Amino acid sequence: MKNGIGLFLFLTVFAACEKNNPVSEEKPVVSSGVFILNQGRQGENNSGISYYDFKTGTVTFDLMDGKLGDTGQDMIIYGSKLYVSVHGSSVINVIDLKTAESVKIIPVEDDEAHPRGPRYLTSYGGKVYASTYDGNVIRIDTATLAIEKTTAVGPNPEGIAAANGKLYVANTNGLDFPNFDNTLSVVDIATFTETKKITVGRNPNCVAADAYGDIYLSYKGNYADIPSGMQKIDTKTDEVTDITGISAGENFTVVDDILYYFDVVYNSDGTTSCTYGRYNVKTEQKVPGEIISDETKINTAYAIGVDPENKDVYISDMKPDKIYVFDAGGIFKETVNAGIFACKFVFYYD
Amino acid sequence: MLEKYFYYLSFLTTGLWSASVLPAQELPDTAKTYLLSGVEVKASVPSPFNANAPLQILPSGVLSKTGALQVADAVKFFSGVQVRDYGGIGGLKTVSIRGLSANYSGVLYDGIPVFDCQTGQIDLGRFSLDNVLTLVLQTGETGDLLQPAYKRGFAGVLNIITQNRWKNPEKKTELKATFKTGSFGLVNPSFYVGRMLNNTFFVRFSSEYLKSNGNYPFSQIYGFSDSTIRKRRKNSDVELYKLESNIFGNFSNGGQLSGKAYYYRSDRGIPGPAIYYSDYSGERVKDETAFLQAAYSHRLSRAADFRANAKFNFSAIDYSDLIYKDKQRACLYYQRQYFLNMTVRYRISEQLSVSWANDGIYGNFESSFSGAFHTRMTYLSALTGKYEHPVFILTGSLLHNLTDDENRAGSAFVNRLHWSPYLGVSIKPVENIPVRFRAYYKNTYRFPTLGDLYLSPVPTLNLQPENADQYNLGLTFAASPGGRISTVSFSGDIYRINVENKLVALPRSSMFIWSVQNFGRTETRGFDLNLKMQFQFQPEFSVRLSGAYTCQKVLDKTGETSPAYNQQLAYTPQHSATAYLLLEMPRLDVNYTFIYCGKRNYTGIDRPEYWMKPYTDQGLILQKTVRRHDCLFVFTAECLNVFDRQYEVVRSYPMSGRSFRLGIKFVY
Repeated sequence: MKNGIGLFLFLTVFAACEKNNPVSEEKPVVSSGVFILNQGRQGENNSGISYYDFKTGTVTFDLMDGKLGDTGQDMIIYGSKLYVSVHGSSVINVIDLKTAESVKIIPVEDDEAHPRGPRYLTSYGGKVYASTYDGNVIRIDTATLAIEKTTAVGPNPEGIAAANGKLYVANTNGLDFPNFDNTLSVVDIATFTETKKITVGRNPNCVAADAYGDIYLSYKGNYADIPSGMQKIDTKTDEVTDITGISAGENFTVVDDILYYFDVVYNSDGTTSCTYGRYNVKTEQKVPGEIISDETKINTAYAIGVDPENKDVYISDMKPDKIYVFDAGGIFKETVNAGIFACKFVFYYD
Repeated sequence: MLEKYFYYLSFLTTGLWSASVLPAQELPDTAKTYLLSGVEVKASVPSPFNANAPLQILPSGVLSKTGALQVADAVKFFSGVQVRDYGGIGGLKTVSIRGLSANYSGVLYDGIPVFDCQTGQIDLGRFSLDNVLTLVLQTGETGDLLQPAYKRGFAGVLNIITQNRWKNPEKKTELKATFKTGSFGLVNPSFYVGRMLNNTFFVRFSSEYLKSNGNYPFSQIYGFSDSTIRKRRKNSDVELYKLESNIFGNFSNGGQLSGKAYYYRSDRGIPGPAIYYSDYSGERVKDETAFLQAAYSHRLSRAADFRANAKFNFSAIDYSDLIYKDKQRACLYYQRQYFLNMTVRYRISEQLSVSWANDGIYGNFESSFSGAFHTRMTYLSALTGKYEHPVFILTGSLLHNLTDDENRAGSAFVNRLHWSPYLGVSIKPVENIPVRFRAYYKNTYRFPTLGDLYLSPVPTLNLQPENADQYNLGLTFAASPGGRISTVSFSGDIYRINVENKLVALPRSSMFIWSVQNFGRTETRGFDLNLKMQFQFQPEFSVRLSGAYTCQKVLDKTGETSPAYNQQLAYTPQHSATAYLLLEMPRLDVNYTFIYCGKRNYTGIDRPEYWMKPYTDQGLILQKTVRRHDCLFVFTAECLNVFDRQYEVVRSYPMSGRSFRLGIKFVY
C-alpha cells in the first residue's frame, strides 16, 4: 500500500508544480511601425495582431492578448482606429490605434442571428465597408461604429475596393466549389445598391484601386483547367482590360504607383514555387528587376505588404510561419516572427 | 502489375495449401475440452507482463468501474496514449499512440479490422463500452502468429473484445439489461440475450439506445485576459442505437467459427469549436454503419493451423451545415470495404513456428459533393517467424503493402509499395526471477488516405507515404509475493520513433481551399511506466491499484529556420499519467480514477501564447452488487470530473465539468 500512496503523491506533486499561465507582454506605445494581422487557424480562436515598432525595433507578439477572435481576415486603418474583420467570430473588431485596446466589437449577423462572415474591408467618404461571405456588403458608420445598412451583391464575395463613387466587389461563389463565379458587383455608394455586375475572369479574388480611377483585379481560375489572371477595370466606363504577363493569382497590393504581386504554384510533387513582380499602374508597364534579388527562398508566400516610406517589402511565409523583409533593391534585410498565417500588413507613421 | 498477380497467387496458395492438408488432419486431442468450454472466439491474450512487446489490458472487472461510457474514455487509462477528445458524447475521439497521428492506431473489433478509408482515423467515440469485455492495446508484436497482416501495419493496435466463450454449459440462456441516466439528459438502455442452441452453436444478440442533449456548461476565457463568460454547448445533442448479433460454432473436427452482424445509426449535432463572440453552430450529421464479419479457424494437423477472416463494411454519412440563412451545404459520403484474410501457421519444431498472412482490402469512397468515386485496393502480405527458447523469444516479420487507387473523375495516386520489417526479442535471463527484458524495432507507415488525396480541392497525387521507425527497450516484472499482496507487476519501456515525410494539410489563401503535402520530420523519445498491484485484506475485501505514467518528447525536426524547429509537437504533453484505485468491499465497491495531462501546446510552436494548461480529471464511482439466486443486480452511481475542472483537450473544445450518472444492471 505504501508504494501506492507514494505514486499518488508523486502524481499530485507533478500536477501542482506545472501550472504555467501564459504571461502576455506589456503593451507598447504605438508610434511608427507595422501592424501584422495573423489569421490564426480556423476554429482555434488564435487570430492576433503583431506589432513591429520601427523606432525601438521590438516586436509585440499580440497586441490583443489573444482576444481578437477566430480567423482574422482583413485589417485597415481609418481615422485613429484599426478595423479588423474577423471571419470565424463574424465580427468587426474596432481597435484604438494608440492604446491598442478594442473600442467596439461589432457583430456581423443577419436578423436571425446567423453569422454573415465578414471578409475584406475598404473605406470611402467617412464609412467603412466590408464584404460578407453570405453575399452582402455592410456599411459601418465610423462615428457610431454601428452597421448602418446592408446591401446584397453576388455569392460569397471576397475583395472589395472603392473608386469613383462606386464599390467593386469580387463574387467568387466559393461555397459551390468548383463552380466559381466570374463577376464583379458594382455598388453605387450614394444609393448603396448594386447597379450592375461586370463579367471578369473566373473566381475573382483580390481588388484594389489606384490613384488614376482604375481598379485592379486578380482572379484565381478554378485550380484546374482555367488559369489565374489579372485585369483592369476603368471605373468611368466599367470596361475590363486583360493585363498579360503578370501572375498575381495569390495576392497583390498597390502602394503609390506600384502594384506588387506574387503567385504560388503548387507542384505535383507537393512542393511549392513562388513568383513575384511589380507593375507600374501609372505607366502601365512591368517594372524591371525583382522584388527578391538575392538567394532568399520563401516556401509558400501568403501575404505581401510594402512600407510606403522606404518601400521595404514584407512577405509572409506560411510554411513555416515567418515574415521576410527586403529593401527596395530586393536585398534581404531581416525576418520577423509573428503569429500563425500572417495575412495582412498595415503600416502606420505618426 | 506483377505484384498484383503475386498477391492473387499467394491468396490462392495459402488457400490451396490449407485445403490439401485438410483431409490428412488428425483430430486434436483437445476436441473434448473444446466442446465443454465452448468456443474460444478470440486468440488468447497473453499476460502483459509476460508479453515480449508492450501490451496493455483493461479487463472486464475494471472496465465497468472506470466510469467510462465509451471505448475512448477507457483508452485514456493506457500509458503512451493520448485521446484527442472534442468533448461530449457525440464528439470525435481519436487515439494517438506515442505521439504518432491517429492514422498509426489500428482498431480491431473482435479481431477483425475497423475501416475508414476516407480519413484513416477511427472515431472511438462511436464504440460504447456496453457489452465490451476487454480492451487490449498492443504496440509491437506479441507473438501471436495467427493474425491478419493488416494489423502489422500500425504502430499500435487496439482490440475491442466483446465476446468470450460460453461460460457455463449447464445454463442455456444468458440475459442482461442495463439502464443508465444522468446529467445533460442522458438516457441509455441496453439489452442482451445469449442462447446455447446445441453442442455446436450458440448465438448472442445485443442492442443499445442512447440519447443526450449534451448541452453542458463551460467557461469561455478570452485570450489571456481575466474576462470569462459562462456559456453552454449548443447543437450538441446525440441520439444513437446499435444492434449486434453474433453466432458461434464449435465443430467436432476442431474448427471454430464466429460471425457477427452489426448495425449502428446516429443523429447528432456537431457543436464545433467554442468561438469567441459567436455562438452559432449549424452542422449536423447522421451516420450509419453496417458490417458483417466472420472468422474461421481450424487446426489442420499437430503442426499446422489457419485462421480466415472476412468482412463487408458499409457506412454512410449525411452531413449538413447551415452556414448562412439561405445557404446550406450538404453532402453524402459513402464507404464500402471488403476484407479477406487468410493466415496459415506452421510449427516447424518445438521452438520454431512461422506464419504467412495474406490480406486483400477493397475499399471505395463516394461523395455527392463533387460526384467523386474513388477506389483503393490494398494487398498485404506478412511473413512472420517466432523462435522460442527457455531464455529468449525471437519474433521477426516482414510486411509488404501494395496500394493501388482508381479515380473515376481523373488521375489517381500511382501504385505504391512499402516493405515494413519487424524484429523483436524478449529475454528472461534467470528462470526463478520474474524479470523479462524486451526490445523491438518496427517500421510502420501511413499511406495518404482517399480523403488526403482526393477530397482536398487541389489534389496532390504524388504524395509519398509517411514513414515511421520505432525502437523500443523494456523491462517487465511480475510476482505474487503472497500475504496481503496477491500480485504486483511492473513494466517500463523506453522508445524512440523517427517519422519522415509527414502528411499535413495546409490552407491556401481562399476559403475552403487547402492542399495536403509531405512536410516534415519528427523525433520522439519517451518512456512508459506501468504499475499494477492487487491486495487481498479479507476474503471479501480486495484492493486493486493501477498507475501509468508517460513522458515523451516529440520534437519537430523540420527546417532549422522554422519557429517550430526542435519544439514539442502540438497536443503532445511531456508528462501524462493515469491511475485507478478499486476498493472491492463486502457492502460497496468504491472506485477512484485519476487522469493527469501536463502542459502542451496546440500549434507546434512552444510559446506561452500557445500553451494549454495542465489538467486533472478525477472520478468517483460507487457500485453495489446484489445477488438473488441466479440473478445479479448492479447499482452504480458515478460522479465524473469530481472537482469540476474546466479544461480542453483540443483547443476551443471545452470538456464537460462535473457530471453525474446513475445506472442499474441486471444479469442472469
